[in-house]
Order: sequence, then structure tokens, then C-alpha cells
Amino acid sequence: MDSFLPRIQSVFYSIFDNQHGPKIVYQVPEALIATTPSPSSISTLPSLPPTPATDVPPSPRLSSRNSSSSLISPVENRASLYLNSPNKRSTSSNRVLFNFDDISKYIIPPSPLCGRLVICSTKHHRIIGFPVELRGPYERNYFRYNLCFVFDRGADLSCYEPIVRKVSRVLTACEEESAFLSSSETSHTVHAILEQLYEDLNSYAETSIPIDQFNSIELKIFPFYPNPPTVTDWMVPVALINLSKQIEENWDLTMVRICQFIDGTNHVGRIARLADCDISFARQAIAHLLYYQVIMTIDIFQYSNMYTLHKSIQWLADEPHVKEECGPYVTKPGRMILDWPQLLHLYSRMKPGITVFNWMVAHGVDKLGIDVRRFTSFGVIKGYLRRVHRWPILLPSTSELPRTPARPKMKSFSGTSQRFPLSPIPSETSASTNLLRGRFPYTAPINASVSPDVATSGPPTPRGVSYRPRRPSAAEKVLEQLKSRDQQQLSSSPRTLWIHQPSSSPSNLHPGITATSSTPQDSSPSSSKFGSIESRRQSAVLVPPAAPPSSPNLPKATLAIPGPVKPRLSRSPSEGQMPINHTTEHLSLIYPPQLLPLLNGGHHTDELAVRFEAGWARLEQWLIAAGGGRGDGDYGRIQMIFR
Amino acid sequence: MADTLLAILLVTTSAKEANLVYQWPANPESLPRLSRPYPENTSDLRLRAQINESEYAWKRTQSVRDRSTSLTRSSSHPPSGRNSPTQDLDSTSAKDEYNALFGYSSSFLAGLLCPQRSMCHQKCELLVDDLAFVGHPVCDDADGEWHFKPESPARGREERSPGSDVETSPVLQQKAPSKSTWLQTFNFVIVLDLPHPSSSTSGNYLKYIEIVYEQIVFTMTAVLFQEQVLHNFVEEECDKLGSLKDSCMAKGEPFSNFMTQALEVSSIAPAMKTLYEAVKLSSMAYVAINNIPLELQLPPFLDRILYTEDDDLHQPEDEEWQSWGPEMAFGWKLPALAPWKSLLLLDDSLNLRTPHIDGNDHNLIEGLVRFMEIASITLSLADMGTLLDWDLETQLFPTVRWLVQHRRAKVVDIVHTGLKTLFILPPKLPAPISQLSEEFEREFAQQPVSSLPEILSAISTSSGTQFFDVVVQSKALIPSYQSVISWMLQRDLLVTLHLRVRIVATKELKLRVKHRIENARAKKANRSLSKLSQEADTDSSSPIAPGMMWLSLSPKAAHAYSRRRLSPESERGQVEADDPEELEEEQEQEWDSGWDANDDDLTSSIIKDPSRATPLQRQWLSAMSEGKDAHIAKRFDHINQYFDGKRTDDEILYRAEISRKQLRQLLHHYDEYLQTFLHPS
Repeated sequence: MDSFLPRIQSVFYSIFDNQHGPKIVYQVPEALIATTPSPSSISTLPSLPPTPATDVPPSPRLSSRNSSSSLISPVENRASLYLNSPNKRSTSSNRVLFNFDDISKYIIPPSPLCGRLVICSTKHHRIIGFPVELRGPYERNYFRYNLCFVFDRGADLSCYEPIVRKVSRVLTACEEESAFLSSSETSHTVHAILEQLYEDLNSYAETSIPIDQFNSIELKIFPFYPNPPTVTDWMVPVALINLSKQIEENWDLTMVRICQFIDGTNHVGRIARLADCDISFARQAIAHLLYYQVIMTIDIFQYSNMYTLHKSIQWLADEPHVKEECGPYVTKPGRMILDWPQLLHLYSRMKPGITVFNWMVAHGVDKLGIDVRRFTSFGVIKGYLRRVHRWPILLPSTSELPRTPARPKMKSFSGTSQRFPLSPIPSETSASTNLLRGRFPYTAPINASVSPDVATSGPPTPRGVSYRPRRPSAAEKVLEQLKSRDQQQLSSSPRTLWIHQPSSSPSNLHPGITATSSTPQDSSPSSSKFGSIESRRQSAVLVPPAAPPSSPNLPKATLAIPGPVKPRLSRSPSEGQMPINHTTEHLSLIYPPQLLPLLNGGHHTDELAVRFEAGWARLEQWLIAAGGGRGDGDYGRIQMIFR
Repeated sequence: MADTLLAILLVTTSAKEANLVYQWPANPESLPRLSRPYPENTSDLRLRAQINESEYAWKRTQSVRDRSTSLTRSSSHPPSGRNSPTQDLDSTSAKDEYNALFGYSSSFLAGLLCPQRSMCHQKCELLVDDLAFVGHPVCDDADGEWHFKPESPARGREERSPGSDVETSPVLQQKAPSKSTWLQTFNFVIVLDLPHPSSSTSGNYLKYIEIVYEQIVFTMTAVLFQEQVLHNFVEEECDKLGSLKDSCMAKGEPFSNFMTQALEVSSIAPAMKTLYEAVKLSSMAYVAINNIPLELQLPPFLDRILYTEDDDLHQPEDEEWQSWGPEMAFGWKLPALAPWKSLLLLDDSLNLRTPHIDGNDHNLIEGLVRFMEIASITLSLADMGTLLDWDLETQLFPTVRWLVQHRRAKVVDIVHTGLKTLFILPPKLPAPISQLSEEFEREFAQQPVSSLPEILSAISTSSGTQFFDVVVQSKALIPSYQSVISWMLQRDLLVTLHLRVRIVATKELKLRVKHRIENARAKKANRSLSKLSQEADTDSSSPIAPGMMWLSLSPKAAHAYSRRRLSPESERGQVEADDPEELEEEQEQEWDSGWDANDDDLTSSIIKDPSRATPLQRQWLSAMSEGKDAHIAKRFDHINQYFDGKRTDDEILYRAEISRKQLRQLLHHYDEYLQTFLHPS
């Protein structure tokens, strides 16, 4: 299990001996570190034979180390020459790690270095220790000791740093309380401690060593992971393991709640809302999961997204784990699985500037039985597909770009209505608009129509309730819902679906969507209320027929926001289709003033969408309004950068 | 860049004591650290106001006595007079300045960094809390003299520094240099702020330290050591610096005076300063040690490994990347160095009269001048080689490598002369757009070009359209936009899209080929049966019909069997061996051997590596050409080996020596079997 943890080669305990200076008192395994002094210091540091009582039988693992004796450095060879002490096994001479004398100045250093974590290195090894100097009624008024671990030179010792600090802390406490280390009666037990540290940490990565009545060394090595990337609200976590199986009772409550909503489609902001928890807690929880590498994050799926191939497609296209998993993963149940060349071809046609929707139309993807959300997320997860974000940038106004006067607004869905009023604040700002503008911290009711958070639906809808049953159904159930809807809203674009209906395909959209159809879970009496709300909500979402401007085959229409509060409050089940009225039409064009400073090319539209709780369709209208563009890819003073 | 570099030290030992000879900078400061995290929700302004930042800051425990707590950072500057009321304290703090570094006394630090003799002549790495000391201590021999070690370090890094090319050992014997009197050990140490291990993937900081050691510490030490052995240089420098320090201390001059005066009296001191500043600026340090020029630098993207980023800093193993050489293998993020690439000069005015180029290199310089003149992003390296009459491997590539290593040029993808190249934008921009726009405005204010955001937008929003069509649109503007492209390429604002091709063996094709093989086999079997009946009375040694036998065997076994069967026949020199039908059969069995499990299913699949196609795949490939023009088919046959989805269009054109038009024509003809991919390299 812990194969990634570095292996302890040796543990040793050394002190500053009043007569002999720094010396190793005990080491486990025996005699790996040459303590015989080199010729230069032979007079000052005679070797100290280890206590016979503490002689350890060689552990079975030693043999494996023997095999690595070819690594022995000249230093070691030289050192081995002096290993003629009778207590040492003759075999030990060929597996001496290093000579203690070489590094003794870092192991038992002068006081400035005491109380610090010191890692020193020899040619092939790395020694980590925490030299301690205790002042007290000692012969020299101080007592210095250090318990060190020896590793291979290349080992990453991050995970051992806390271990070394803790061992030293406990031993210091023992010494301060009962002179455990300095008293000759108890000091021999250190050898047993070393043995147990060596055996347990290497074998089990944890240990519990009782020392005396009050003190014990309790250690567990935790693998050291890098910090997770900063979690943003528009990231979509995807579980890499079955999180629900891992949940235990004593888990953090927020985490338990958050985990329920990690389904590969909800973004962090939405998860926070669904779980009814503070967004910063949600971010933290996701960061924790990222840290433990049990989730990864992808982008929010929308039909307005654009993707492009990453260079890794060069080799990933030949990888069996990609070739073989892709088909089954991306195909809708019951449909024939396409072969890899076909799928690869579809991937290769995803380019910046071509939305998923355009791509679907161009390649008849809806007829192929492909779940487009899974199709794109598979590529993103495997790393050969990359989301291309839109980064709007508002250019400084120049005389060359005079603001076009507001045009008459279009009132119908008809395909001709490609123009939008351009003024950010329409001249005929009505009372209702003002009223609504006053509300413009973008509370959910207003934005419900296209918001990514729409399913969370803000204050009016009790959190999560209606969605929880829906969530596991993921693609299929949504599809069913969509299929059963009526044809009236033919014009609705998949873009407006935002992410909560990720797998709906255009084929299902074109027939239209009934708002009145209820989802299966609506049948339950307890949830019926919410179910109906939900279906209304969906209707609200789908009504505004804001087609992607770049898709000419769909009728362009002004984005009409249904009277936001009304449908919600009146819970009439008959409320299927929202009438489009002028007021709502204007609403979309009043972009929040906070939007403008963010249009500096440093914030992409997913970020803006999540921040202002507006789906791309609505955001696009805002941008057109803010830039004074004509729509259909023209944002006026706003330049859209795809990268 | 190189935030982690804190200081550069030179420490020495004599028989008596260890000494910190010189340091740069005077008052190294490590990055601020927290001892505990700030409260999570700092958006609350009231809460934010309550945070006393000093409560959270981590402080290195000071080991220099209590007095040192009064040693403030600002004390290197003239004391303000408020905080240090008495003259007495001033002088103490001034003394501390000479003696303290990172909270340690400098003599203690020097002793720490000069290890035992047995630990000399190898890498010395000491990590203490948040500081990493990286050095390569060297010492004299037991007889008190400095000699070269018989076995020089195996790394061979010295070769790169021009100074070490000097033939050393004869000089040593001929000329007795001024002898070392006291110097026993010296160590040129880089002090790094140890990055927090969790900032990056496990073990990355070890790699970081290793590279700092290899690129800077080792090279520098090698030159210093050589000069010490040859000229007792280090000891003399230490004498100069030591006496200057003593006199400054005696005069009570502030430490900063010593620091500045030292730059004048010694050559090591300015070298340390230059090196420090260059590393901080992520540029190349040109230093001179005892008049030996040295060029030192860290890989430009080295710091990236300290942050969790997924981009890979290792070069791929491909041949084209290998040509960069080992020293540029890590942290450079270089494109392949290949003949179909092109060169972008970053600095038009290459100063060829740098002091580091001596007169002997005159020819070289002239060649280089010509090279610089013709270098252009619209010219491939191969064409450059032809124009200059330079050999690609031995002349052109080394020059390119030198230019890139000295950050004077970049290898980029070739840009079409008419700017008909496909670009996209990189996922990350090197700087905020507003800043880039300003630079762009300054640069191109006089030119009739669009603004940067407009260009970026135009490039990125038009998928698969050439730069000329989306941005330039007029031939007259091509020169202006050429410089725009150069400007953008310099800043990594453009990524060239490349076409790659893969071959798909479709289901129909596979079926067709399979049927043909089966037909041929059936025919063959019939024929051999009839032949067998004819031969039956003449050849009694084969009791079983050979044809029947191999039909019933697995393809491989059959192949082996047929070999066995054929060999005695050929020995006999019978007519059968020359029989063309027999040869055909042989061939067919070769194809059979390629009929492995993967190819067996009749769904369409991609031919992974056409250059190493199995016999069956070869048959598919040839079946693709059925009904095509002979010359097209021939060309396809010739270049389909490059259709592995990895080779770029530029490479294919170069290797196959065809024109882009010919390639396009081919792609069109074989559309059914080819998949094209457009993505960056």
C-alpha cells in the first residue's frame, strides 16, 4: 500500500558524549553506519561497540539491501576497511551506508542548529533529523541528542518531516520529565524504540510505542500530496471513485452533503446551492477531495461550448484505454456503439469557433446515439480534448465605433429577429424594468430561466428537494422528460438548457419540450409540488428561444426572459408556456453594471455566467448589449477571444 | 523568476577558522511565510481588519544572541536615529551586520558549509528548516597543496564553460604558481528558500535543487577550483576581501560600504552579484572569473516545477528533441529542432562584439552575420542550410542551439510567406491582455494594423481560417503583419496548428481484402490438391497433402510448415521453386502471419503505424489505391508511412519532398480512408 513512501534504510540515535563528542549510541539495523573514526579523528572518537543486549536479528529485508551493495561509494569502501570491531558481523562491511564522522557536525551540531529540522546528505543517502539541545543539570549543562532516519538520496522526505518532529518532541518531553534519555537506567530502551520505528514505519507506515506511563510515540505517515489547484465556482467535479461508498458517519457534514451532488454535471456553485451550504465551504470541500485525488474537475457542459484537440491526441488515440473505453462510455444505452475511427473523426471536428451544437448539426450527431455530454467529458477527462473558453474584452470606446442607436425590438420568435436593441439601458426603461433592476443582485427568480443554477432555483424552491431524485437519472431520465414534451417550443435551442440537462440531444429538442409533462418522481405525493415547480422551471428555461447566433438554421430571437417571479409564485399546473412580453425582452438587455469591469479579457464566460447566474444565452445578450453589437457573432465594442 | 534564490555565498576554511568571505546580497530576505493560515473567509472586511498579520507570520528563530532581535532589516541603511538612540547600539548592530546571516553568525554558517575532507569534492546539500544550502565544497590535498583530482568528476559539466577547455595539467607542472598558504576548503554556496513541498508534486523540489546545482554551482566551482589550482586565485581573492572587510570593520563603516568596495577590489564579488541578478531576472549571467568568461543560466521554465501545473517540462524522447542536447533537456519547453522548423530572432541586434568572442572566431562571426541576415520565420532551417551551404547537423543546428540557449532566438513553426498559416491562441496568455495591448500599441502605433484584441479575436473566432484571410485581407499589409506575427510569436501569443493524418482501414475495405485472400487461398488449395495428385506417384515422401495441412493449421504454424516444406524442395533445385505460383503462395503466407487478433475483427480501425504495417495492413493500404490514378497511387504508397497521426504536415512535406498542393490532392483522393487532425504540436 505504501510503496510510494520512501523506505527507511536506517534509524539511529546519537548524543553528544561528554568524553567522545558526537557518537551513535544505537542504530537499527546494526552497523550500517560506520562509526569507526576516519584516521584524521581517530584520537577523539573511538568507536563504541553496540550494546550486546540489544543485538537485533537481521530483518529479512536486509537481504534485499545487500543486493544493492554495488552502489557502495569510495567513501564507504574506505570506511569499511576500519570495520574490524569484533562485535560487528563480517557481512556488515559490504553494506555500510556512510561514515558517521562525515556528517556528525550536522547530526549533533552546535546549539544554533538545534531545534531545527536538518536534512543532510551523503553521496547516496539523505539523513533527516531534529537535533535537540536541552539545558539542565547535566555535566556540561546541556544534553544534546538526535534521532535520525536514513533514506536513499533520491527520497522525498516531505512525509517524514512531521514524524521526525514528533518523535523528537515526545523524547524531549520524556527527558524533561524523567531524564529518560540521559539516565543510564532507561536509556537502553531507546534501542527498542528504534527497532520498532524501523520495523513498523517500514511495514505499516504507522506505529504506537508506549514509552512510560505518560508518554508514547503515536505515528502515522500520511502520503504527501501536492496542494490542489484553486477551486473556482465554475468547476465541475467528477468523482474518480465511488464517493458514496466512502462516506462515513463521522465525516464532515458539509462534505457529506456536497458529495451527494457530485455527479459530473453540477458545478461547484450549483453544488453549494443544492447542498444549501456556504460557497466557501463548498469550495473547501471540493479542494479536499481534489487534494486526495478522488475527484477531478472538468468544465460545465453546455451546447454552446467549444472544444479543441490537445496535442496528446497524437498518442492517446492509439491507447487501448482510450480506444476501448470511449465507445461504451459515450453511447446512449441501447444504441449501437460506434467504432473508434468514427468517434475519433467526430473528435477531430471539434474546433474553436464551432459550438457543440454546430458540431452536432454538421455531423448529424443526434442520429448516432451519442451522449454528447459524455462524449466531450470523456475527451476532457482523458486529456485529449480541451475546452475553449470565450474571453470577452471590452475595447475602449473610440470614435470609430459609435454606438448604434437602439433599434426597434423584435417581438416574435420569427427567424428574422436577429437584431437586438443595442443600448444597454433602453430609452423606454419602464417602471417594471427599474423595479427589476433594483433587484439586480441577480437573485435566482430573475435569472432562473437560463441560469446554470437554475435547478437550485434560489429562494423559492426548497433546496435540492425536487432535484435529488432526478440527479442519479442523469442523462436518460432527462432525455425521457424532454422527449415527452410538446412540440410547441420547437425553437428552443440546446444552449438554453445550460447544464442541468446535459445529455439532451438536439433531436429531442427540435420536437420541442412540454412544460407540463411530469417527471417520474413527480408521482410521489410528497414531491409533487416541487416536481411541478421543476417542470415549470424547465419550461421557463426552454421558452426563451435564444438560439446560438452562429447557428443560422435556428431562428434567431430576442432572448425573452419570462416574468421571473410570476410563474414561480403561481403554482398553477397549467403554466406551461410563458408568454413573451416586451418587458422581459428588455430585461435581458440590462446587463449588470458589475459586468463591465470584468470584460478585460481575463474572465471567461463560464466565470461570468456563474458569477451573474446567467446562462450563456442570456450572457450573450448582455454582451451584445454592452458592446453595442448586432448579434450573430458581432459584439460591437466587445471582442471575443477564444482560447 | 527564481524567487527561491536567496543568496550566494563563498565560504572558506583555514586551519584556524571558517570564514564567510563574501555574500550577495547584503541582506538576503526569504519569502514571507505564515505560521498558521489566515482565516478562510477574509472577504469580511471587519474580520480582515482585525487580522494582525504579524501574528500569522512565521519567523525564523534567531540563533544570534538576543541582541540580534534588535537587528532590523533596515539597519544596513543609515540608522534613522529614532530606533537606535545610542551610538553604542549602532556599532553593535553594525557588527552584527558583518557577522549575521539568516539569523546565524556568519562564522558558524561558514563552518557548517565547509564539511570534512571526506565530504569534499562532491555535492553538498544541507536543508535547515526553510533554507537549502547547495554547494560543492573542494579542498586541498593532505600536503596542503591544491591539485586536480586524478579522476575528474564524471559529469563533464566543465566542458561547457569555455575556461575549462584550457589544458591544465602541463601548465601546472611547468609553472609553479604562487603557493597556497592557508586555504584548505572553499565552497561556493547557493542559498535557496526551500519551497514548501506541497506546492508541487512530490520530489519536484529535489529536482529543482539538482538543476540549480548542475547549472550554476558545479560550473562555478569547477572554474574557481581550476583557478585555485593554477593560480592560487581563490586564496588571493579571499585575502583581498578579508582585509577589506577587516579595515571596514575597523573603521566602523557600514556593511554596505564593504559590499560596494568589494565589487571593485575582487573579481569574484562582482561575479556573484551579476550571477544573482541574472538568475533573478531569468537571464543569462555573463561573468568573468580571473578573466575567464563564463555563461551561466537556469532553464527558463525551471520554476514551473515548483507549482502544480500539468504542463510537462521534460522534452519528449523523440529524435528531433534529442538534438537539443542534455543541458536543454529540462525546463526549456522547446519545440523539436528539426529541418522543417524555422527560426525567430528575438534580438535583431546581436552584439557580435561581446568581449567573450575573441578574434580567432572571425570566420565564425562572418558566417553568423549572414545567418542572422537570412533568418526569417518564413524560411525553414533546411532552406537556410541550403542558402548558407551549411551542413544541417554540424553547422546549422549548433548555431540554432547556441542562439536559443542564449535566448536570442526561438525555434518556431514556419510561417507561410503570404501569411496563410493557421493559428490559434494558447490556453494561457503570458500577461494580461491590457498590458500586452499597451506594448502592442507602442510597437505598432505607426502601422496600419488592427489592435491586439481585435487580432486575437479574429484569429481565435474563425476556426480553420488562415491568418491572411481573417486578419490581413490585403496583400499590401503583409509586411506589417509579418512583424505583428513575429511580435506575437516572441510572446507566445500564437500557436500554429498542424495537420496530421491517420489512415483508417474501413470495414468495406477489410471485407474486400479478406474475400480476396480467401479466394486466392481457395484457388491455391485447389491447385495444390490437383498438383498433389499429379505428384503423388513421384514423391512418396509426403504422405499428407501439404496444402491441406497448412489450411488446417493456424496461420503462423502454416507459415512455418510451408517453410519447412519448401526448403528441401529448393535444395533439390526443382522447377517448383522457380514456379511463380509457388512464390505467390509464399507471399500470401507472409500476409497471413500479420493476421493477428487485433486485425481480425472486421470493424474499421486505424492503422497505427503505417511505416511498420503488418503484411495484412500493407494489403489494406494497397487496396486503398485501387481505382486511383497511377501517379497518385504511387505517391500514396510513398508517403502513407507518415500518416501516423503524429507527423505534422510540415514534416511530411519535408520528408516526402512534395508540395503542399500535392499533399492536398492526395488527401482529397484518399478522403475515404484518411482522417485529418488539426492541433498544435
